[in-house]
Amino acid sequence: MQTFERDLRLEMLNSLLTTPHRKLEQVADVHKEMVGMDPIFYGHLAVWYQRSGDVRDHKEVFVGNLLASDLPEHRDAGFVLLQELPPYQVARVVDFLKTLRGKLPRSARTAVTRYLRKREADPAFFDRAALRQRKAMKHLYASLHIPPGARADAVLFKDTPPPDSLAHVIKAVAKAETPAEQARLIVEHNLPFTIAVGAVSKLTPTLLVALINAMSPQEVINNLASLKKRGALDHKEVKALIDQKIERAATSDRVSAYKARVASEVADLDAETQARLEKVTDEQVKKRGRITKSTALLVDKSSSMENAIELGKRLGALISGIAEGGLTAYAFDTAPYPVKAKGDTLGDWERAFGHIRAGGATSVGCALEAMRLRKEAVEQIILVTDEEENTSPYFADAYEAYQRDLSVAPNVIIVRVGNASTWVEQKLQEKRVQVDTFRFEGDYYSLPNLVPLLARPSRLELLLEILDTPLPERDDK
Amino acid sequence: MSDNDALNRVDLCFVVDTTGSMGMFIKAAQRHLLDAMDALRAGHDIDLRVGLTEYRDHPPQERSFVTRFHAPKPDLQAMQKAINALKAEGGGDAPEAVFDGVHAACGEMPWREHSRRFVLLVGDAPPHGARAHERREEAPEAEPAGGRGRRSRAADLCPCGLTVHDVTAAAESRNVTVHALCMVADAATVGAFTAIAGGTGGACAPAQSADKIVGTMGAVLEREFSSLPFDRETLRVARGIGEPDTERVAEALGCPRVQAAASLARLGKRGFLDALSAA
Repeated sequence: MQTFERDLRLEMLNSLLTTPHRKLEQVADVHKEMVGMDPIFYGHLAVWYQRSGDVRDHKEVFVGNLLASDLPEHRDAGFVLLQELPPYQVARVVDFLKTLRGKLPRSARTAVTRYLRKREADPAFFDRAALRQRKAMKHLYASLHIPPGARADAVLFKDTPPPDSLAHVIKAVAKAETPAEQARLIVEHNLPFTIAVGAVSKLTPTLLVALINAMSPQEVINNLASLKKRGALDHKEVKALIDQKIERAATSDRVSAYKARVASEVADLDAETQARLEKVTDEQVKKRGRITKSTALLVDKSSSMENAIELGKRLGALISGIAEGGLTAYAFDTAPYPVKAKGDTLGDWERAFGHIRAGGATSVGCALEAMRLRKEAVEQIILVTDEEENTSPYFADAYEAYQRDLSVAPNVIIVRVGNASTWVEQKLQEKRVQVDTFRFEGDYYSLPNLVPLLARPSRLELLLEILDTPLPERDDK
Repeated sequence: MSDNDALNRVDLCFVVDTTGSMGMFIKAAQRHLLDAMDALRAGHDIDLRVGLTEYRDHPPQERSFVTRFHAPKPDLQAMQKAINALKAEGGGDAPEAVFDGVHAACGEMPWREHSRRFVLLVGDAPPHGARAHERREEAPEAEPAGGRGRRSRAADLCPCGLTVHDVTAAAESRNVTVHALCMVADAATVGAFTAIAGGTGGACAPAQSADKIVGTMGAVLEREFSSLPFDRETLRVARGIGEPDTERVAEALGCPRVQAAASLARLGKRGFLDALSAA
């Protein structure tokens, strides 16, 4: 790989990892640039991201752009990847192509037609999709003018679901005369919570048990606020069932680490449930990779860096559970403050940072200087800062001394916070230090994106892994 | 007054260029300052105290004064009079003693304990050391004893030796956030003002966007002071527990941990938890 080519691809990867989600236009612009710069790499990156990435917007834009590609291999890959998405995401891919790219290529229509026909051919598969994501399914048929099969038409458009359909069961639940009968139907047909809850007039503990039994661990986490509102956490047996589901979420392959954390923050839960959700988060993060390199986490606590302290806690919790090579942490203003957590949960890091307050001027190099004097050699450094250093020792100078005295050359990952400059990065580049940057925009969902960077010896290795990711091929040609 | 009552303290120091080149802007600048005072007072139940620092230039360019500080008055109307009495005179060459103005304000303003602290810099010319704000200068051969940060080329220095680093360090070490209003759009002035403000977590805007700066400061106040009753409760609970333990505070208040953590961060930054941390 030529240096120029490598740098360009690193730049693409950096853009991908740092664009905040829920801003589809911004995401689309980043992708447009990436496609233009290096379409071959883009294809491999798209497939790699579907398997390794977290952010839904990126996944959808990747699939849309592959389907609209001039390269047949990319269109085929987009075709295959679209089949793996849930209906609401397929609908978002279609809308992305129509609105932000201005056209719906024939390949996309073919892929969606195949998607719908495959579901129609399997009534159970179709019913569940139609029940959970009715609006998205209708949108796909209607917006692409794809004629529905007779059964699909009856379920989605005519509102005359056949007796063997789940839509029919939902109507039966609404008409059932007793909570016991409703519970029986919910359990027998494994009805999803969000749908069934709308069909029952009054939620009894029996019904709640039936509904929670039908939920996946991820659904329980996603709906914790709703369950709490409906009194599920106040009932001992129901709460025990919820706890069981959350326990299972820790080992499930289909649970998002950060949804668990967000749920714990927004649902105003009791301490015990929060602790369970933290465990889910920690276990899920551990599945994303192991950091074998010894690592230092240096967090700027100067006057303007109140947000960095909060981020430092979260990064500490994120990394410590997977840092097999050891983790050293400091906060700093013009002096270094060692931070020692007793465990690897957010609670442990909250306590470790408990006495750290934003304040003071900024010497980004002082913590590294302390590490040099204490002979704490590490292979990588995560620096959480706005790079606005104003007091000696400066980081690049401290790095030089550290490298010289301890005979190590750690790579540096700068996590930028607030109105950051590029000062530290520039000075490190002048000294030919391997430095990567990650812009934190307040989106805690994006933090697990750091794990692949930290878990590999270098970004070059990550690039090679991406290039080695094969494009999936259609099996129907 | 207990320090609990200090929760709504805001200290603001205006730092204004009053050299001759500001003559055409001085009325607009005065209006912006008064607007800022009114906006900050109007939207919040805050205890506002305002100081004022004028800056001009070093001799021989200007012999009247380099900086002149007006201490906060017992009532804000007296400060309004002081602002209205500002006169633009002298100054000599284009760059002015911007660094001195901000540095002096940080050092001379009697910041109250636990107050939220702002400097609002208003000017139309860059500091001496036009390139100093770019911070791409060569590394010093030797740091001066008791040094004031890195030195750029001598010709680029402010006559007193101050650099942007000294100024931002002075502000940060006193927990002061600097915002800046640029009365002109030339790159050197905007760049320098942005570097000063950015280095303290503040923002810089052109004078045409004065509302934006006032809005930014208002947003900070909104964020910090809209939760005053909650912060009072947090402080009471933390003191009762004897330590700023987020989980215990959250449990006692019956709120999510993240809400308690944010409240403790606000209180901690302003020094309300120092006694607990030291205990």
